Amino acid sequence: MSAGTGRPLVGARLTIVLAVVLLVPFGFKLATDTEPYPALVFPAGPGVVTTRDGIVQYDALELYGADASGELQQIDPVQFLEPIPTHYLRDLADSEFGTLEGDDLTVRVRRIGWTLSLPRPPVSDADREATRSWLGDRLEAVGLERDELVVRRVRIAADADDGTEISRETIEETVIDV
Amino acid sequence: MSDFTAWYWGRVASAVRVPDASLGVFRWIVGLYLLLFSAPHFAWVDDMPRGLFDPPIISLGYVVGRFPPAPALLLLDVVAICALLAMTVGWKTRASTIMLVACRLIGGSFIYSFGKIDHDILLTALLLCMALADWGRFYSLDAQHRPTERGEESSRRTQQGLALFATAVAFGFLTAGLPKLFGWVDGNLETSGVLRWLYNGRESLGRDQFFGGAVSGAPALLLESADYTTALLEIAGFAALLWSYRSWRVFLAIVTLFHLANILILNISFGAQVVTYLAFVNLCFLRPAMQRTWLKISAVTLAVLAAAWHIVARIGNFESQTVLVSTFERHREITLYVGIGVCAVVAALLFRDAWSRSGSAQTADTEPAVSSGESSVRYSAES
Repeated sequence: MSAGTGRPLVGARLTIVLAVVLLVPFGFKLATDTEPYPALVFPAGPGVVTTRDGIVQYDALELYGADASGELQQIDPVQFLEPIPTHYLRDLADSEFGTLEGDDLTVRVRRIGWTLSLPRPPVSDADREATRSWLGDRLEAVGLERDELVVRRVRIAADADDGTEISRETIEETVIDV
Repeated sequence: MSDFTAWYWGRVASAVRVPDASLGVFRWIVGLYLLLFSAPHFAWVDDMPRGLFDPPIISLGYVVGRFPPAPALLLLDVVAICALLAMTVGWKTRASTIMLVACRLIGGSFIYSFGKIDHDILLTALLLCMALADWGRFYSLDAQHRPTERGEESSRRTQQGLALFATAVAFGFLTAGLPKLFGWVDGNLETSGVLRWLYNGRESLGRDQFFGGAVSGAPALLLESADYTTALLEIAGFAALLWSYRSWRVFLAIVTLFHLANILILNISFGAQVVTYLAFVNLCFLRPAMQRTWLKISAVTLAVLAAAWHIVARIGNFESQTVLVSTFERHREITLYVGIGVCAVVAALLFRDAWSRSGSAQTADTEPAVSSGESSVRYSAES
C-alpha cells in the first residue's frame, strides 16, 4: 500500500467476491471436467499425441454421405455445418447430431467419485424428427442423398518427419438414419 | 486479508496504469474492431433444430431448457449491435457497454449450447471492467456534457477497471497453463501437445493454412521445448503482473507473439483477444489524430455504416461477424489475416510501451504509485 488515505484500490470484500467468481468455476472444471458458462476459463487442451519409431498417431473425425449410386462420399465439415462453427463438430458427433436419446446429464467428481445427475433438457420425438430432417437438408445441400449420415472416427499414422500419412484405420463408425 | 488486499491491488495498480484519455482512444479501437470483424452474431441459432440443444450443465441455457423461439436471438443481435455502436461513439457509454455485456452473456448461453464452449469470455470481462473504468469520458458524445478534463492522469476509476481486467487476463492464462503443466511437461520426447492441436485441427477441421506443415517435421526436442514454453508462459501471468509495469507489458507482448504463432501454425484466430491487451498501452500518442474533425467524422460514419450492415445482414440471414462478408468460413479466413496484422501491431506497441520513459520510471519505483484514496497518477507529456 502506498502513502495516502490507506484505502486499497479494491476492497477486501470485493476481492473475496472476485476470487470466488474466478476460482469456483475453474475448480469445478478441474474437479469434474465439466465447464460452466460463463466462466473465466481459457482453452487448455492438455492432451498429447505420441510419436514412436518415427511414426505419429492421432485420431480424427470424418463425415460421409451416400451419393445417387449409393457410394459413400466424404463431406467437407465446413460446408456441411455452416453456419455452425466447424470446431463444434466433435461435440455434435458425440451427441450423434441431436438424434441420440440421451440419459441424464451426469457430473462426476474425479478421484472422490461423487456423482450428480440432472435431467437432460427434454427433446420431443417431433424435435428429434425435425433434427433428422435438418440433417437431410444439409446432406442434400452438399449434393448427397438424405438417407444417412456416417460419422467415422479414424486413427491416422503419419511419418513424424514430414507428416505424410502412412495408414488410416476406422476405429468407430456411427450411422445416423436421416 | 486487508494487508494482502492492499499489497496485491497496489502492485497491480502500479503495473497497469495508463492515462484516462488513453481509454477513450482504446474504446474507439475496440469498438471499430468489433464492428468490422467480430460483431455480435447469435441469430443463426434461431434456425437450428432443437435436437442439437446440449447446454453446459451449469449455465443459463440449461435453466432455460431450450433454444429461445425465433426471432429472439435476431432481436438480441439488433440490440447488441446498437449497444456496440453506442459504446463506440460514446453515447451513454456505461449503460451501452453493460447492455453489450448482458447481450454477450445471454447470446453466449445459447451459441455455446451445442456441446462446445468457445473461450471468448475475456472480451466480455474487458467490457465489464471498462464500464467500471468509465471509458466514455474522452472522445465520446458523453464527454460533450461533462466538464473538460485533460486526461493525462490515471484516475482511481481507470486503475480499478484496469487492475480488475489485468487480474482476469492473468487468471485466464493460469487456467490454460495449469492443465498443460500436468499434461505437457512430462519429460517424454515421444509425446507432444503442440502436435495434437496441429493434427486435430488439420485433419478434422481443415485448418491447413500458412506454416502448419513445417511443424510436422520439427525435431522432438524442439516440440518438447514448445510444450514446456507454452505451459510456463501461461502460468507466468501473475508473476509478471506483480513484478513491474515493464514485465507486465513484456509478458503481454510475448503472449501476443504466441497468439501470432497460433494463427500461423494452428490457424486459430486471436485478433479480438489481442485487441483487449491494448488496454494496457498508453495510446495518448494518437490524441492529436483524434482531434482532427475529418477523422472523427470518418470514424463515426464507419461505425454507423458497419452497424447498419450487420443489422441488415442479420435480417438477411448472412452468417458472418465480419462486415461485408456473408459466410462464416470467409469470416474465419479474414480474421486469420487480420489477426496477423493485429498481433504484429499490438506486440510492437506493448514492447514500445514497456521501454517508454514512463514505463522505465515506473519500473524503478519500488512502491506502488497509486493504491489508495481518490488519488491519481499524473503522466508526463512524454508518456
